[in-house]
This record gives sequence, structure tokens and C-alpha cells, in this order.
Amino acid sequence: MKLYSAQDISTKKDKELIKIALEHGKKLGAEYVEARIVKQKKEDIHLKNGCLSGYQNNKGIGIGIRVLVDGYWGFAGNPDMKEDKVITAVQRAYEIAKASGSLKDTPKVELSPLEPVVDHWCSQFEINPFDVSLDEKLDILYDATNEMTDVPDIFLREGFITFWQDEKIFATSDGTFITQLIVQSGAGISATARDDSGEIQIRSFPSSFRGDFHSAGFEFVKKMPLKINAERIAKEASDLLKAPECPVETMDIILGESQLALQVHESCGHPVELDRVFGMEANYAGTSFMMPELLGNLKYGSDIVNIVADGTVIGALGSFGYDDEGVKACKSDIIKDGVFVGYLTSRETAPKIDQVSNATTRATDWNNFPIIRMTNINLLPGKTPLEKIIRSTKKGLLLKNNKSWSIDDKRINFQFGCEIGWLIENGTITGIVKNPTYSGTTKEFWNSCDAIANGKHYRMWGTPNCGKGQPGQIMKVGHGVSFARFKNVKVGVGNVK
Amino acid sequence: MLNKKKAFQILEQAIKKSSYKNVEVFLFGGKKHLTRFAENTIHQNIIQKNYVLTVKITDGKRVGIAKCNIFDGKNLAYVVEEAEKLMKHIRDDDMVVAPKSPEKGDYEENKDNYHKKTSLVTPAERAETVMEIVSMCKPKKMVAAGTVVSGDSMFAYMNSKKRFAYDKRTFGDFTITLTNETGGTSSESSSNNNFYEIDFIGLTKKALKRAEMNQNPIELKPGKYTVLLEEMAVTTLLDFLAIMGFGGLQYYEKRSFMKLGEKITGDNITVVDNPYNKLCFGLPFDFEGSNRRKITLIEKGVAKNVVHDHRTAKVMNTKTTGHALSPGSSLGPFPINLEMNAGKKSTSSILKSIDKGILITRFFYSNIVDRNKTTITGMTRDGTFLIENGKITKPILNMRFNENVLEALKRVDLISKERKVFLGYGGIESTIVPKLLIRNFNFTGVSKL
Repeated sequence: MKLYSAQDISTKKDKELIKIALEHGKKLGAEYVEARIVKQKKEDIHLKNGCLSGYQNNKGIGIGIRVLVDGYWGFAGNPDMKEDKVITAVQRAYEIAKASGSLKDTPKVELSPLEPVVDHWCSQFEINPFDVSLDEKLDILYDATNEMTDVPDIFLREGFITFWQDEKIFATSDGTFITQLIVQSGAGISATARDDSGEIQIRSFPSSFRGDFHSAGFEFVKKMPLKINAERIAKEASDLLKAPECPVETMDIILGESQLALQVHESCGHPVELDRVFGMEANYAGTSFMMPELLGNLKYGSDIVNIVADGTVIGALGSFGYDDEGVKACKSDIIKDGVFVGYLTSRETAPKIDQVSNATTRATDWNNFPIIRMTNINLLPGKTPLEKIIRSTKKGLLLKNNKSWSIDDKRINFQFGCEIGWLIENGTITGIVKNPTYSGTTKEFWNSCDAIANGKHYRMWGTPNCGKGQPGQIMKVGHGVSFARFKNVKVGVGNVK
Repeated sequence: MLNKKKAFQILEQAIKKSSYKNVEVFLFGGKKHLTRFAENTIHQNIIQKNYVLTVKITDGKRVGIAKCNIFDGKNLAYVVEEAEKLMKHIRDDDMVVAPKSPEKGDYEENKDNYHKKTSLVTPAERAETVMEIVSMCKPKKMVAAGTVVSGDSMFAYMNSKKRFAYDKRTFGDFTITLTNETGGTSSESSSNNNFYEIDFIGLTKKALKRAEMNQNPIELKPGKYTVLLEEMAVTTLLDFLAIMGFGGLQYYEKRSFMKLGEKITGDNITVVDNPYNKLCFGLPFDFEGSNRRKITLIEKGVAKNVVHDHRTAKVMNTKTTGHALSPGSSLGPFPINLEMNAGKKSTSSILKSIDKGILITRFFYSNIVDRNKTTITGMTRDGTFLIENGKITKPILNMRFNENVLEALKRVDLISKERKVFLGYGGIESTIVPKLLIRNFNFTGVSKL
């Protein structure tokens, strides 16, 4: 493994520009200045039926300047790394902050305290994917998708690989100087089947919507069992064409893998973002039903439900050394024994509930204002073997791989659709159903959770496309889950006509 | 903003970096100023600036693509090299098309899209606008959240066959969500290439009126109801139809619901993709440098056309319609200036005609449930009201719908003569829609704790 030092990330020129930005901000009169240089690389390959369907090879660089002037924020992004352009960006951020404060009765921003830190952090990886030849990357996808070729009804064989590399240099006028290198990798495959009537069904591995992603190098993708699962998922997609529709009734459901990860993401991760709670997302992503007066009082889930926010999990997609306010990554309780006990907070929002930031503030790139984002929101494993959960289910559905998701603006009413459902009758899987959906309300749903599978099935899943904010920002987050059972859930939407 | 001359220089320099014959380069970007307010205060106030260059090189049946945002000689050479590297490694693809020479008859340029004053809106002006809005809301005990946006953008295309196209525009955008003391919400939005033509005050007044009505909602049981969808809600139906089937790639792969020549909606529905509507003049050329054409997608209920780029046109033996997206996108050609026909009835007369129904301001977090049936789900948001005997009588709790879009468009009884324009990314995307009165709209749940 090549070791990357702070000097690899931050050049002499970067340091000079940062110094100029911080000094110019202070000279103008800002009480606090942040400068964040981000150098990003992204490679994204989408192979369809052996041909290149989509490809991104992007390289970008820029500096984001955030200033606090008389208690109000201003931000300017600038791609031009020349001294005069950086000074212009600082000037713009300053003018914007002055304008922000012109509104009468606007409370001033108070940041939770933070000791200055000088540090370097690098995510763990063995092989930098940007040092690997294209042939080697493409071969993984060719090999896997070729396995689907002879399966009947399959008309689309798709493979996806994505790599990111973020080099960040973050400095503040308080004396913080942090360099970080974060390398992330992931891949996935999918098979789409069609019958004579034109009906289409899809199966993917290991997760839908381009696969699974970790903070890791090319070694993660090399180890993914794409090839050995390719034929199986293709056959399942074909079988789904002939399978019965998901019934419309109330029954138990067992969620696993990336579907349970998404359930945690939508119905727990988002509503505990403190900026949503304070209305900062009211105009776009929505607010939350989990208001501060419920902290410590709301029985969010059953006693076995324990959820944490943990930006320190090695290899997880939502991990980092420091957030984009310079706060060290940490682990904190969100749901403890079923009770709502914690939020995701920033330096700006935490003081409003008499807390300090728990390091969840990040920006998509240098051109965006950092906002509260999930880190890794993990449903901790229970004690029951998965086999026992299935055996003790009288009638239910085991659901995997998301096909659609929808939840209201307060994160109460949700509906999810999955690629496949396995029908369980008297403790035995008896067949598959197509187009399975389930719906419910968050509190009732998590309180109906009566079993969580043990650590044998627990693992991290990566969600690379979490959207929030205006302008829209995409963030990479993670979720640790095993399997969990929920009682008496409404499944199916019937034949909508 | 990068002017035509500067854009030409960068693109020309990039093309010269490659030793290959068939090179295409695309440059887009600009500045976006966004003042975001919530809880009646400005909480995020920013300027974003960026330009991205895409290089696409083709050689026979192979293509290579790469992007960067730095345009010095070293980085231009790097991005060209990356594109060439990809081209050497991938397998042959029948859909690859070399760049084309300039077409006869150039694209229609619209100089009205660029308003110098809009490009110069200051942070202080945007803050003053927010101040005025908040001063209207506070006395009524309303909490305002929203965005005031101004900016400019440019798009330029060049290829090694001497095709060069350039477009610039400004944009202004306003969105507002109000929350009353009981937690009821309302929202309004408007976009215009000219920031100063946005009626911030009028829209805030409308949102205030709607928020005042949205207090103490009653619960309505899920089931089938007549609905009057306001324009924002109609955009959801149209946008999902586009995703599920208006593109040539989906049609080629037989994943589209479009069966050309067959009746798929009611007679009263016509949908076109029109970049040349004066209400929202779109980008006149696409990301392959082709002139964009007005395309009728559904005409009086009959599926007429899908949109194409050079790739899908080649394999389907037809001509491009000028709907290519950014190189490297796997979505294929896509309509970005959708327009649904207006009806003959005024909104007030449609409302009067409803004995019992639901008024829906907008949908939220919608998603595809079953692509085979064009079924989507989502929630209502920011004002859902009961209509009784031709009048809006009570607010109701937000409801979840599961509905087959094409079937719903067979049950449209009335269409408003008023239409509303929504602008999207960089001011080049747009949707123009009327209000729709739809029978038996399917609701399956209610949002309540």
C-alpha cells in the first residue's frame, strides 16, 4: 500500500492560496474564515450488453471560501486557482455575508466551540483505483455480465464500476489545518428480463442502482463476487416474469441488506438531521417529526432497536477523518433501546440544543456550502440467527434490493418497492412474488420490529447518491445493517388502474 | 461569464491537442447566486462559479470521453489523453457516430434569454427581496423558507468538422414555502430569464393566502377521488412519463410505454418537446451540436414520436431530433422542454364544476413503482384541500397516491386554459403545463403520526 502524506495532498501553492484567503478574509473584517481546496477525480463506467453505455472520467479542482461577518455567513466557490481570483472569491463571500446580516431580527450564528487542529487523515485502501488500467476494470464487468448471456428472457446485461478520489485541504482562521485523502470504490451488476407481453423485471447484485460502495481501493471491487452471482440474478429476473404479483394484505416482512439500509436512511437518518428539524430544509427536502421536545421521550422503535451515527467505521462509505467544519469524526447514539436520544448536528445547530457538533457537516465539493449530512447510520445487530427469524415467521415476505422509495416531507408515511419478495409460509420459503411493495408510518413500523438478525449478517452498505440542499448536493453515506423483521405491515398496492 | 470568443479559443485549443480526426468538445458553466432563507432569516447565501469541458473522441466504432474544469495547456492535454486512453481500451460499439459537419440552416438564436441586469444582481438586492418577503409573512405569524436565485450560464459546442455553436442566458428563480402556526404549509415558485420580471410579492401573497387556508386539516380515507391537480403536480406526471418512455434509447430497448401510432391517453392530451416556445426558450442545439427540433410526443392521445440523438438515430435508421444529453450519460436522448396543451376552461370554472374532489398543490418524493404500467407513487404536499360544491372548503392531511400515469391521462375531464412555466437546470430545462381535472385518482394512504 502506498502511503499518502499531507505533503502529497497539499502543495506549496495550495498552502499559499489558503494563507492568502484566510488573511484577506480577516483583513476585510470577518471574524472567522474557512478555506477548503478540494481536488476530485471520478471514474464511472456503465457497461450494457458488452458496450460502453455511460462513462465519466472527471477531474475538478476549486476552492470554497466561507466567512462569518458580524455573525452571518457568506460563501463563494471559485475554480480558478490564481491568487487574484481567490482574493475576488473572498471579497464576494464577505459581501454576501454582509448582505445576509441585513435582515432585521436575524439571530447571529453561534458556533459550537472547537479546538484548532493540525492533522492529516487518509482512508484505508490497498490499490488506488486511479493507478489501475482500464482493461482490468472493464474485464471485471465483461466477465460478470457474460455469465448472463445464455439465460432466457434477459435483454439487458449491465455492469457498473465507480471510483472517487477526494483530496481536501481545510484551514480556518482559528488555526486549523487538515489534509485528507478519501478513496472510494464500488461496483454492481444487473439483469433485465422481458417476456412476449412486454413485461419487464430486473434483478441486481449486490444492490440496485449501480451496486455497493465502500471507502476502499480497487481491492474491494476485485473481491466482489459479481461473476458468481451473475447467472443467479439473471435467472431470478427471468423467473419473476412468471411469478405471481405481490399480494395486497397485512403480513410480517423481513428486510435485509441494502433495502434495510435504505429504510434506516429514509426513516431514521433524514429525520434526525438537526437542520431539517429547525426548518432549514422546509423549502426543499422537508422537515421532521422528530422535534427537540421528543429527544429522550419518543419511543421511536421497539426495545431492540439501536441506531448509531458513526463516521469512524473503517472502510464505510460515510467515513472520514474530519467533517467540513474541521470536527473530528465520532460515534454517537441516535436511537438507544428504542428511544430517540440523538441528532446529527453541525457547529451552527448544536448550540441550539445545548450540544456540540457531532461531526456531520459536509459539502459535495469545493463549490458548495457544507450542510448536515448522514455519516454511517447503523442499525446495530441483534441476537437472533436469520434462519430462526425465517423459521418463526408464520406468513411473511423476505424483501431485497430496492426498486422504488418514497416518503413524505416530515418522514412519517413511506412506501418502498423491491425487486423481489420471497414468500414465507409457516417458517419456510415457498416461492417468489413480483413487484413487492410495503408501506407504513415510521414510528409504528419501527415499534413493530420484533427481531434483528445477529452479527453474522451485519455489514456496511454504501449509498452514493443521497440528495439534499439548495443548490442540490449529492453525498456518499453508509449504513450498517443485518436483517430485521417487522410485524403486521401493509404489503402490495394492487392492480393500479 | 465565458463569452463566445473565449469559449471558441478554449474549444479550439482542446481539439488541437488530439491527433485524432474526430473530436468533439463541449463547454458549459456559469455563475449561480443563491440566497436561501428559512425561519424568516437568511441562513445560506452563496455564489457558485464553475465551467466544465467535455472532450469526446471517436475512431470507427470506438469512443472516449473525459471532463475537466481547468483549461490551461497542461490540463487540456490531460483531458484529451484520458479520452484517447478510454477509446483504446473499450470494445467496438455499433451505436458510435462520428461528429457531423454543420447542418444547412443554423439554429435559431434567442437574444432575449440574456439580460445583463440579471447577471449583475447583487447579494444586497437578493437580501432586500427576502426582507420584503419576510416582512409580509411575520405579521401573519407565518414562517418563510425559500430561495432567491440569479445567475448566468453559457453552453458551447465545437467539433473537428467546423461546427461551432454558442448560447448564453441569464436566469432568475424564486421558491417559497410558508408554514403557519398549526404546521400547515403552502408553496409557490417562479422562474424567468429576467430576474426583474419575477413577481416576488404577488407570489408571496398567493402563498400567504394558501397557507392561511391550510390550518387544522381533516383526514380523508384513502380511495379514489376526483382531483384538480395544480401545475406543479402535473409536472410530476409529465416528468415521470419522460423518464419512462419519451427517449429513443428506451424505445430502442423496448423499455418504453410508447407504442407509436397507438392511443395511449385521452383525446384531450397533447405533449410536445419544444425548445422554441417564447415562454421558455430552451437551448437551440444539443450536446452533439445538432439543431434541436420541436417534436410532438403525444398528439390527441396518440403516441407519435420519441426523441433521438445520433446514436439512437443510427440504430433506428432515422434522423436525430437534437436531444442528445451530455456525452457519457447513459440515459440516452431526452426531452428537456416538455409542454402539455392548454385547455379551454378557466381554473375558476373548473373548480365550480366539481361536486366533491381534492385540490392538490404539488406532489413530493414521487417514484416509479411499476414501469410496466407507468405506475408511480408519491405524497401530496404544501396544500391539499377538499372541494365541495365547487368551492374549496377544508384542508386535508397529506395523502399517498399510487397511480398509473397513462390511465390517469385517460381520465382527464377538463384542462385549464392557464399554463405555468417551470425552469430547470441552468435555465435550459423547462416544463409548461396546465391544471388537470382527473377522475378516480387513486390514494392509498395518509400521513399522520
